[in-house]
Amino acid sequence: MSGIHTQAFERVPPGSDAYDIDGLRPETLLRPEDIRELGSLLAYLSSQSLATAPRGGGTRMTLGNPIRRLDTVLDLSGMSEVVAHNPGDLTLTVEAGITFERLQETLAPHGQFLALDPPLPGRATIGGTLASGASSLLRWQYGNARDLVIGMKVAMASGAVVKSGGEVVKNVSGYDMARLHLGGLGTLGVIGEVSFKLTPLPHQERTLVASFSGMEDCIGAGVDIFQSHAVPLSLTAFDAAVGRRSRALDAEGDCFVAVRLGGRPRALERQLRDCVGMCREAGAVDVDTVEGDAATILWRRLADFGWDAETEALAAARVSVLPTALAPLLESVARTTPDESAAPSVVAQPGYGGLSMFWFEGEEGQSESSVVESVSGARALVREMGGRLVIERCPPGVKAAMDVWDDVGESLDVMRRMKEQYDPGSILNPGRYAGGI
Amino acid sequence: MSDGQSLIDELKAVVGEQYVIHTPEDLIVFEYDGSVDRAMPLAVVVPSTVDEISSVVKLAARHGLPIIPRGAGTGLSGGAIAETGGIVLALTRMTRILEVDVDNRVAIVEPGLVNLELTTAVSKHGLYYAPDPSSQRACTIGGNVAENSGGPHCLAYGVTTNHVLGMEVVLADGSVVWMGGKTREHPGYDLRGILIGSEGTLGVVTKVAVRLLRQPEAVKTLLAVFRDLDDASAAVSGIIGAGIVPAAIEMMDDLCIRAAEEAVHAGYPADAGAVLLVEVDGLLESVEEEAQEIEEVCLRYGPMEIRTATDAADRERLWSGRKGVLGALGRLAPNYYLVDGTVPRTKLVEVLGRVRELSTESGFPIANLLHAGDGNLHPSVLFDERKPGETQRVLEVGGEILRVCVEAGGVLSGEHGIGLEKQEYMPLMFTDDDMEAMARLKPAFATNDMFNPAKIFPTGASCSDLSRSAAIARAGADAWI
Repeated sequence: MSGIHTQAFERVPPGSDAYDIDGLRPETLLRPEDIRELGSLLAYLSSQSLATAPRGGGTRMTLGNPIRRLDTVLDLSGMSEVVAHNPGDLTLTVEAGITFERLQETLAPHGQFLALDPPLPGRATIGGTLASGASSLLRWQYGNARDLVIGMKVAMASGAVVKSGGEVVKNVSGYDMARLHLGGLGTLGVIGEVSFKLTPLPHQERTLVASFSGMEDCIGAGVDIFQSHAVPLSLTAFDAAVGRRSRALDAEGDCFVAVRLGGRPRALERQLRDCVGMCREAGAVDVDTVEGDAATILWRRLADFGWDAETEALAAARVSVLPTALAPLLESVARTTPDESAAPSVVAQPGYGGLSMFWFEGEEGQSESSVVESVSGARALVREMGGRLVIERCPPGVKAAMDVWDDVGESLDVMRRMKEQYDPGSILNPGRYAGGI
Repeated sequence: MSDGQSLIDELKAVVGEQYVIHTPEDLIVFEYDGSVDRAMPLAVVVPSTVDEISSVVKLAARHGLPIIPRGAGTGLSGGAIAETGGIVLALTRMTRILEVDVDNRVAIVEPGLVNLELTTAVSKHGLYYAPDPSSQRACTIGGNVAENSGGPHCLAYGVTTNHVLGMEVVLADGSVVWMGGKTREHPGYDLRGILIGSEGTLGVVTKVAVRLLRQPEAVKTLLAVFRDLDDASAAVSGIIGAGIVPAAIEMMDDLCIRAAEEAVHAGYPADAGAVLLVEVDGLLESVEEEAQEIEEVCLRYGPMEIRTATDAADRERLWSGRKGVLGALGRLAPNYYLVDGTVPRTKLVEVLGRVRELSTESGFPIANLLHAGDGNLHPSVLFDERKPGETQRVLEVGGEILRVCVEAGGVLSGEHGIGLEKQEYMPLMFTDDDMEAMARLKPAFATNDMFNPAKIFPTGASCSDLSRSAAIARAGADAWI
């Protein structure tokens, strides 16, 4: 076990469930200090056929199909250095265990940020967020992690530390290997270091919130903005239950559209004016602007919704459909869930076709079987619309009843062979990925 | 090995007699692409459907022959060369736009569609396809996918991988699968992202679902003329430092300016050392605000002149020098070797300084053309291939430039790909472990190494023995960058 310091191993106390995954308790916690040690640990685990689950801030351990075996948890939180920030190049390289909050704090004095906004930034790490494919409310304008990652170092199951990409924004030098690990849940390798393309912070920001009496108008307003020349940083529609539970708003209404705008003064004013006009035209009951800290809090609560302690959902799913399918989808979900207490809360991104759904314990308490029914019902509707529904958090009964990843399509065979190539002993999160990979 | 005639007959049975090219006199046009590599394929097949492609792939597998997918053949790294013989699969008949979904801003197209034709077709809806390689009048979407092509405007909008949502692919066993789709996100490993930029080595892309963007409300172009490259480079850093990411920032040095001036009379001052072309687009108000700020930044670096243009004709005039420059290099020398590398943009001054030194040391003039905002440089080493030994020496200079790029924290290729041209340089950037991990994608896709073999990875040949594999173009009007 060369290259491993003795503090890297820690026994998990038998009484502690802090590191359990799907009811399985690991024996050992591994805490690598750097990517070399991460590689050495993986080489050791492979040689001993010990199953492991990589872990960052522990905010997404609910994701995935039931893990088949679990001997160790690889805690990456000790690898949290900023490796290089080159403000003039708008590039950043960090270790995977750094939290979003610390990363953004490093960048802010330079007028820059990483244009991803996952839930729980104080705990969520870069590695965990990328590996779990967590959604970002900023994706409307800036895209996903795959649009921002320019290079990566990954520790493979064999222990080899391999790099791809680089610290430049334009690069066609060899295969774009980082793609495999974005949303790969650490099943093909463990992300150790990531290089990003950064974005200048907007000069100024304004947020407007419009309330509507029905979801169709609400989504309609979002679509109108999507079709216009306005370029919001974020555009999110959500229902009254989200507004109420998150304490994000004290406004009245059945559902809301929040639009986050940024830019130079004149362009910002113009967009605000246009968006207010489009919301009114789409039938908004009320349109308000939210300023300063109130806006920051609103966006934080919307991003954290379903994941923070106050709003933690029983089940959470992310959905991708065509933008035009969003309104009909929500309409069918509402129609097929007549019992309002069993209806999911929704945070949607019209124009993008993104949707998060959350199921809560109802007044009478949602039973596990009724959640299974609700989630599978929603998935069936999503599939009818040509979309996919990935379950990100759920009671064990749901995982037993369905593949949380939905149908990954015709290329599952290629994905299985991928696993055979990169983790032949299946020590990395065995069973948690799509199709039981 | 296969019986040649029976193979040709079988291919003809699949795609029809006139779509199998196999006589030496017909094959010769498929011997090369935008590079100077040459190799003769056994046959060229021009299919029109995915079923035909699937059948051809199965047939090739049975005969143990490689398949080399080919679009317009404009590639600059030898990606479409039949290096080990085999069947060239020319996708130039598959040019249909299968679907334009205006409301969702997605189009599904066949791989042989010419890049610019997609934008032309959707412009009536106020939409366009963002990646705009300079060869966009000729190059195909399928080729763009293979090379993850960029273009002057990828600074703000990203490269091909940021705009392709999914594709239909024929795998080595002839099976047809979709990777990704029309929606923005898809569960499972991002195979779509792996296929893009894989230089045709993992499968044959037969349909591509792409994002379309809304045409900007306003566009403004600025031309800033400087005394030297250092001032122009400093202005680029100043613009980015001011928190502006323009749609494009292009740079040319004195040699390029001289050539372009003589050819297209763009009106650049004769004693200019560098010009910057900066384009901003978007909302009317933001374009005005950003253009003004860019002008203020440029003024800090002592420009000789700044011009701006908002209407299409004026913008075209400002771009004419830039667009015509590569063809114009023929006025300076009979041949050039176009090098493609990217460095962190703050290293541009240092790297361009080293390029100048290499020019002085080697005696070859080097004209520099850059997508400066991205740090993507294209030094063109000017020479005369008729002089004995020059080609070899020029290739060595090209190799030195790549070494300088990598040492400055850059990469081997910004947008042309590795192909045959740079495969022996891969160890400059990657360890054996890195390349071994990449190579495992082939068994994962079960390619049996049948698609575009002998590309990307080093073969063990010496770097200085690359005369077969460099993008040395005959200077002329059909040259793009």
